[in-house]
Amino acid sequence: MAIGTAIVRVPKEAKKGEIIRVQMVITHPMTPPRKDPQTGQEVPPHNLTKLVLLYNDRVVSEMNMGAGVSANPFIALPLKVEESGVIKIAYEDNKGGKWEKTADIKVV
Amino acid sequence: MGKKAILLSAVLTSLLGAGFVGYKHAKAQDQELSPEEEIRLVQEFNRMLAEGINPGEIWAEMGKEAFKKYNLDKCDFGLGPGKIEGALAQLPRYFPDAKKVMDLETRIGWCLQQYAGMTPDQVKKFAKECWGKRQCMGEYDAIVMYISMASNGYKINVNLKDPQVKKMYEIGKRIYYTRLGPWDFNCATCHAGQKEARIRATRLWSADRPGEAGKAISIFPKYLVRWSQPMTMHYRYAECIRQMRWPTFEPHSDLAVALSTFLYATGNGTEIKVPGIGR
Repeated sequence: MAIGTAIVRVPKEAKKGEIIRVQMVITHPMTPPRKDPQTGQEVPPHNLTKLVLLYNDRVVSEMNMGAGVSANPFIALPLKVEESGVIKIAYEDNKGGKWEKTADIKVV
Repeated sequence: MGKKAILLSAVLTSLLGAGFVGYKHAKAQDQELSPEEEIRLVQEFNRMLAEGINPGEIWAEMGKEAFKKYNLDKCDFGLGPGKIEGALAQLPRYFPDAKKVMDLETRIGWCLQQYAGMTPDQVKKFAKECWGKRQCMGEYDAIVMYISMASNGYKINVNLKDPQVKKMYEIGKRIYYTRLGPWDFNCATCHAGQKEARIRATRLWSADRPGEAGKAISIFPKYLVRWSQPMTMHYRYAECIRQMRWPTFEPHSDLAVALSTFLYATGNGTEIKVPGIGR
């Protein structure tokens, strides 16, 4: 019920050496800095800044994000799998929020 | 004369040069996004949306908790208490315990009164919690999304042989074709006829063209990118009625049930694909 909830989706099974798609959706308002039309006050931005994809505790890719990314972003990243394990995403925003979410993958 | 010719040629060359530079510049921009490339990118985007995760599914996950929190597992959606698989496909229907024809959202409102101890005003407030907001994570939307997603793959089958449902269907049809309000609008102004109607670039569905009503209705509640939150069926009615300058719409009213009965019955036989995605 809050900002930072995520869904991570990977195929349940994959062959060794196959390139899979790691799909994710993160709930976040991703508001740019703006002036409030009613009061005229500056509203500070609130957006995700960094997303890291880890595969068995090894950093695979890093993504830097700004205020131009849409709200509730959908991201898909390719990943070559060699062994069964845990795929983890860790992400943070500019107001100090830090979250992570995991998904299991089975390589046959 | 010679001087003039030289001057003219100089002006011409400079103009041509400027034109050529401009052409080159335009060409460079075109090369970045040629029409074919643009179409390919849009197709890629649509394919990714179809294969990927709809952000509305997050609401369905939240709805699972809220469903238990408000004791809705006691609620009968027409298939037995707490059974929600395929519930949306056979609604609206007549409920003997409430002595009324109800669609999904009206039924949720009735169950919230019965099992969660809410007053009618509280239910109305609960349902309207996220209206006119952005990125609002309301529990009501979550519950509706969760129950609707359990019916994915079922085909809409409203039982018009039931006299009560048939009566509601006729009322709904009457409302659909009634002109009202200061602008003399009805639903059929935009959503009927063989001629294609548009609002800006959006192609509107029509009740008269076969299959279109079902296609439009089977994806509700849908996720709207511009509001970054889902839109339920009753919110859609409220928006349409506000745009038509009709009297203010109240959620869970008989008007909504009549419209739902007419629309879902028109879309009979269409497979439910929830959540849809909208602009």
